[in-house]
Amino acid sequence: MKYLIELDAVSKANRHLVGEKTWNLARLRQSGAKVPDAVALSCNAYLDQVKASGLDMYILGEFRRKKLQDVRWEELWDSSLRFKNAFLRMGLTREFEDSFLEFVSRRFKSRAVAVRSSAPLEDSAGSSFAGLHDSYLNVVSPREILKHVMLVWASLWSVSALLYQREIGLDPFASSMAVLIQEVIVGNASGVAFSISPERSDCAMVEAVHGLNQGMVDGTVEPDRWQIIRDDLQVASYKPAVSRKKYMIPDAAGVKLTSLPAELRNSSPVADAEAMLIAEEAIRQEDYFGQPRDTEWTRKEKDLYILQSRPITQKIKDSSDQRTYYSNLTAGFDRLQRLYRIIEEKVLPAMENSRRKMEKINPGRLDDAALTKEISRRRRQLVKFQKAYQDYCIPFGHGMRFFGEIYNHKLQPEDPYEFVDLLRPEKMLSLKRNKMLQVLSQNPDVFAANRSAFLNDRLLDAASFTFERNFSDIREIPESFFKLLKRLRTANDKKASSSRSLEAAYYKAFAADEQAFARELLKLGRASYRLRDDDNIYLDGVEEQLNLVLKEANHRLEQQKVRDGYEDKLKAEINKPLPRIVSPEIVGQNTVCDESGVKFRQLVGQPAGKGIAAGKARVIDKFDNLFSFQKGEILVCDSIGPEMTFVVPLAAGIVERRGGMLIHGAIIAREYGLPCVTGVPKAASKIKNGDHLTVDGYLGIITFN
Amino acid sequence: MVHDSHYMREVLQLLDEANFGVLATIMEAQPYANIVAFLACDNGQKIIFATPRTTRKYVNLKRSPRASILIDNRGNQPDDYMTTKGVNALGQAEEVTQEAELKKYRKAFLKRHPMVRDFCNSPTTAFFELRVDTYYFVESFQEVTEIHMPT
Repeated sequence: MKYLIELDAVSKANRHLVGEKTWNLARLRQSGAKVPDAVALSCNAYLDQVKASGLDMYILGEFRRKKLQDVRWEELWDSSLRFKNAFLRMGLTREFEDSFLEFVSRRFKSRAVAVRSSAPLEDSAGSSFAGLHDSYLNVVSPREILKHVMLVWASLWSVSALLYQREIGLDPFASSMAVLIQEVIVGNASGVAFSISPERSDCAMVEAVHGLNQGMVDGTVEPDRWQIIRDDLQVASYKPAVSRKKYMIPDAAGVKLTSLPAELRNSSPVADAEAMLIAEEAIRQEDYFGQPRDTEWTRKEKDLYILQSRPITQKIKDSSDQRTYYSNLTAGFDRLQRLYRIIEEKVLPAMENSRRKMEKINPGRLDDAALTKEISRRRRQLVKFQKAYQDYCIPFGHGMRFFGEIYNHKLQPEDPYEFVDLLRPEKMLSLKRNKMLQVLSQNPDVFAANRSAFLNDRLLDAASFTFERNFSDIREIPESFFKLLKRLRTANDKKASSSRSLEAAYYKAFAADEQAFARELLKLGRASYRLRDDDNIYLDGVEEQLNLVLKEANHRLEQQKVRDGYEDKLKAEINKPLPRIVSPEIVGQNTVCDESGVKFRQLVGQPAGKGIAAGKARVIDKFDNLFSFQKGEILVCDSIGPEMTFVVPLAAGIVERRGGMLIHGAIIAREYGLPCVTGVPKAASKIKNGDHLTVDGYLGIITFN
Repeated sequence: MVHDSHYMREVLQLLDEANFGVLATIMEAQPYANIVAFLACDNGQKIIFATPRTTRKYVNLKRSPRASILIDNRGNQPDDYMTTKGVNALGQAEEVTQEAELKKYRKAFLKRHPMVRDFCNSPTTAFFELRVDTYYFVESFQEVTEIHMPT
C-alpha cells in the first residue's frame, strides 16, 4: 500500500510524509537504540481521505463561521467534539479501507499495537507539541486499528491543538497528520529520562514507575526519581515515590490503573544501576541528535526499549498560564471520579453547612465589634468556597464532555450532542426552584403574607436564595416580582425527557466486561451535568449571607448608630470589593455598539437549542430587569446565571453572548425545549430591548424583523 | 457620521478593492443581472457605472430606476463562503447628462479602469450614478448589517 512506510525505510526524502515522531524513531533506531517495530501511515493518507470524504469542506464551514478572536474556549471544545464525531463517521474510500485492513492484519496479526499521532510539525525542535494530539495504546484487530487511525486524524483538531493554533498561529488547515502504528511492548517498568535535568544542569534525570508510563505522564502515578551526574553517571540523589500504590497495565479498553501488587510496593521500579544505564542512553541520544533530549522508555525483562524521544522544551510553570488551566480540564476518568467524591462529600455539604450556621446568626443582634468580625469571617468563607468551586466544581464540569466523547466514540451518533439527552437530570435545583415558583404563582398573596411559613420548607429555601440576595426583607420585594409570579402561572413546563431508549442503546454499545465502567461513567456524566447548575446555587447561598451582614453594616452607618472606633472599621469592611471568581475569559467582553445609521439585520452564533421562535427582545443587563420579563419574549443576555433561570419558562427563545453547547444557558434551554443561540459576539449590546427577533436554533441565526 | 462607522469603513474598503459588481435591474416583473465595472464616489454615497444605450439594462433603468449592485471579494475558491465579504447597495439610478459631471466621471472611471477607454469615450455609452440609500454588508456567511446612508 503506497501510504505505508516501514520504519527502516524512513529517510530525509520522506520525512515530511511520516511526521516528526516517526522520523525521530527512525533516527533513534539508526543510532543503535532498541525501538519497537513500527510502520507509518503517511500524511497523504490523511489528506486524500479527508478530501475524498468532503470532510475538509465540512470543517472549513464549521470553523470559519466566526472570527477566531471571537471564539470562546467552550466553543472550541464544541468544535473539537463535532470534528471528532465527523471523523468517526467519515466514509473512507473502498480501496483505502480494504488495502489498509489487509496490510495490518498481515503485518501485526493479533498483536497489540499503539496508534500514535505523528504530525509533521509535532516534536520538531523549537515547537514541541507534546500531548497536543492523541495516541492510543493496546489496540488489537485491524478494524480497531483503523478506527483509532481516524481518531488520531481527528486529534489534529483537538481542543489543545485549536488553542495552540490561536496562540502560536499553527494552522490546522495547512497541516496534516501521519500515524505511527507500533508494536506495544508491555514493560515491567517504564518512565522518562531527561539528558539534562530540569533541576540540576550537571545531571541527567530519570523517572520510573512500575508497569506502563501512562499513569506517570498524566500525573496519576507518582514516579521514583534519580538525578544522575552526567560526567561520571553516578547517582547524585534518589527520591522514591511517596507512596507506590497503583500502576498502569494494558487492558481491553487501552490501559487501566490498578492496585500495585504488595510485593512491588516497597521496591523501586528499577535498580540504581539500571537508572544509570537509562541516563547514559539519554545522554547518548543527546550526543547523536546534538541537543538535550526527553526520552520515554520501557524495560521488559532485561531489554531497554526507547518509545519516544524529543527535544527538551521549557515547561511552562506559571500558575496563571491559561493553557495549564485548560489542560487540567481535560482530566481522565479517575480524576473526575475523585473530584465528584470531593464535591458531593465535602465541598457542597461544607457550603450548605456554613450557610445554615450563618443563617442562625441575626446580624441585627450583633454588636459593632462582632459585626465587623462577622463580615470579615463571611468574606473569608466565601473566598474559601470560591476557591473550592474553581478547583473542583469547574473542572468537574468537564465530566459531561468526557462522557460525551466516549459516548460518541462508542455510538457514533448523527447528532454529536445526543448524549446530552441521556444526561438529563432527575433533579436539578434550578428546575426544582422554577417548579416551586410556579406553585407559588398559583397564590402569590399567600406567599407575600406569610413568608416565614414558606421558609420552613427546605425546598423553598433554595428558591429564596436568589431573591434574598437582592431583597433581604419581604417588604422590599418589589411589586413587579409578584406580577412576575402571576405571569409564571402560564409559563411553559419542562419538556419530558425521553432518555430510556438512549440508555438501552448506550449500555448495548459496551462489552459485557465493560458494563461496570459504563454504569460509573453514566453516573459521573449525569452528576457533572447536574452539578454545573447546583454548585452555583450553593455558592450563591454563601454570598447572600455575606451580603446580609454588609447590608446591616450599611444600615448602621446610615443611621449613625455605630459605636466610636468602629465606624472606620466597618467602612473598611464595606469598601473591600466582593470576592469574585475570575472566569477564564479570552475574548468577547461587550463593548457598546452605537453607530448611527447602522442597523443589525442578522447575527450569527452557535445553534444550541433546536427550534425557531419570534418575539420581542428583553435584554437582561441587570437583575431588576428580570421582573419585567413578559411571556413570549426572547431572553437576551451576556451569560445566563443561575439567578436568572426562573424567567426561562416564560421565554420563547434565548440568545447569549457566551458560547458553547454545554454552558448553563444552553442546558436550561434544552430542558425547556427552547430555541437557543449562544456565542453571539456582543449580543447584549447589539440587540436592544423591544427589537423584534427571530431566533433560528437550527442554524444559529438571529434575524431582526 | 455613518462613514466613520466600523461597518462603513469595511464597505468602503470593499468598494475600493473590487473592480466589478453585479448590477440588478427590473425587467418588467423580472430581476435582471449583469456584471459591470464600477467606481464609488463621495464616501460611498454614489456608485458610477457605464452601459451602452442599446442594452437591456439601459432600458430597464430608464423604465424603473430602482437598482442594486452586489460587490464582493470572492475568489471562487471552495473556502470562499466563510471568508467572502459582500455588500449589496440599494438605491436610485439616474443617467448622468450634465457635461461637466460626465467629464469628471469619465476621467475618474478611466483612471480606475484604463482598459475600457474606447467604451468610455463612445457617444453611445451612458453613465449612470446609483444614489445609494442602503447598504447590506455581509460577512462570516450570515452576519448581516444594514447601513442607512444620509439623504
